[in-house]
Amino acid sequence: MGETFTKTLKEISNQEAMEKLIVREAMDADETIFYHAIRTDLDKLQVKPSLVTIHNILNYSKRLR
Amino acid sequence: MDFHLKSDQDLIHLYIAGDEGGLVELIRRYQTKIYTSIYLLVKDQYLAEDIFQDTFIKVINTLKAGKYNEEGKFLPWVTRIGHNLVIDHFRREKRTPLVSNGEDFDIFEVLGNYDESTEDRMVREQTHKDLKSLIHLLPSEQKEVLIMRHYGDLSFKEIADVTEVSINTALGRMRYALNNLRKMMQTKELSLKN
Repeated sequence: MGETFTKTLKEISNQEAMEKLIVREAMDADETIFYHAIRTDLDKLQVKPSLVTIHNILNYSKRLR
Repeated sequence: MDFHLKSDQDLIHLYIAGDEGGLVELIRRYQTKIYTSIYLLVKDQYLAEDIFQDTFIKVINTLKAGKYNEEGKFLPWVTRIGHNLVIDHFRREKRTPLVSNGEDFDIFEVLGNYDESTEDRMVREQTHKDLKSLIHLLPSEQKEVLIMRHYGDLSFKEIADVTEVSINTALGRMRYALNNLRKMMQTKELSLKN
């Protein structure tokens, strides 16, 4: 006899997918477009820590060996 | 060994196994995002350097103690540590990093009261290109969501956990942040045109 029902229900079990859905519903198109428009400018604000700080961290790590 | 081709998880395993190169690559990969997310919150280079260093000392101690949760992503995890250290700092200082009026915040009030020095005027003239100054005008709740989302790659669920609010509140704060930034940019553009 042929199958007349769906064995597996399509549910969103993935947390990430669920969140994307919530975000899509919560953010309107203008906000999403605006965010994408400023992403490049936000990336340009990025700054690096000093080399001294990086060396301090690496030295700390080496001392724990 | 080509560390730059390795996944974060592989680098962590290499580091725990004693290969310092794993840590070097993780720092190289994420130093800018993590440092920026701290710097934009504290607005002080030297303080940001200290907190960044303390953040990685915590990371190192956790990894060496074998307490790192494999399920989490590395960048959001480190961003959370950095954010918590920033909060600790401001608690110790008994002050908040920014004007904090929550969702009732009116950006036009801030713009109207903006005390303009020569430097500030120069910044203003850069209008929307100078996003940094506008971000600093946002209430702390909105600023931290924007920073954690963009630089820390945290999901809204993770942001909600860190800031101890619901996902909807975290989302709402992101929306307010974006709307306020957009209003500020439009206002500044108009003021320059007139």
